[in-house]
Amino acid sequence: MQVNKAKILEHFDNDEELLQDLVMVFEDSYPNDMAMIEKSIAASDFPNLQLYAHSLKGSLSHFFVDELHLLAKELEDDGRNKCLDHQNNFTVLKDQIPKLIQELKK
Amino acid sequence: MKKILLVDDDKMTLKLLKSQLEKRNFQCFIFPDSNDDIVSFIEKKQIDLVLLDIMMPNKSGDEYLKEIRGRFSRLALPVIMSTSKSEDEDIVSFLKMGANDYLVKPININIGVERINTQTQLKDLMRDAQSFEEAKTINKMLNTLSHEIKNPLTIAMMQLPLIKRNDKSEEKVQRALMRISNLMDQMHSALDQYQGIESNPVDELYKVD
Repeated sequence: MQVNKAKILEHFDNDEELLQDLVMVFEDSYPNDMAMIEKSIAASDFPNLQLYAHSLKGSLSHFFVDELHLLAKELEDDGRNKCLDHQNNFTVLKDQIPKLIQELKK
Repeated sequence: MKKILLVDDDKMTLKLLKSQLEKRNFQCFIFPDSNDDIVSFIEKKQIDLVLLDIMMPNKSGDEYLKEIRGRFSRLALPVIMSTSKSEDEDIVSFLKMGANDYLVKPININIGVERINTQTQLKDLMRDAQSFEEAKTINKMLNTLSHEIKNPLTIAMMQLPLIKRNDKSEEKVQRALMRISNLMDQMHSALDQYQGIESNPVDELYKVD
């Protein structure tokens, strides 16, 4: 996973404090999105899969980590297309997001 | 200070936008709850521009946009939609529904500020144009009114020396008084025409389509 801290900081107007605040907001909010995605996959609840994967994708977009953004987007597309072709993305995201947070906190 | 209403379910976007816009002298409000009436909120806080997300869990951006456009025209209240790239197809339909512009997420704050400024400046220009047109209309109305009052008033005033000169002739005095009475009726009618006028044709500009 490639974290481009310079690009992220530029997005946050080079305000490191703001970036750290937002990392905390993300750390607080993403478990809910993940829980809802997991539940939606288990129940084949496609509208909610689309909605919460979209929400997670939106949060990830602030950090410009293309790989993770793509994984969330594919889950969102699954929800839209009413399929579970990329359900394994969930496991990868569950593993990778805490690592991303650690990187961002450095 | 321009007042911006942020309608988004993403806490990160809200925090980022609020912090960055306030740094640039905008006053930001976060729409509290999808159960609240957005139109009343906008009216109460006198919002200048709405930044509206498309995809939200409880109520979608298009529902909010319909409610807003049911009350405010594009000129009266600009709405900028925020979309992700996958919502590209939606942009055209939102612009057709009455959105003024859009921003792609993650929002680049400098682009966002420029677009907000453009829309609020357009709104101000329209307001100035409306004030100018209103002033012109009022001026024209006052000129007409003054003319409609002045003419009968002058003729009525001319009756007074006639009454004085003919104070021995009851018939002539009565005729002069009758003329004065008719002229006063004319002035009364002229004033009646303008009573209750609160708007002018420029309001058409602000009418909802």
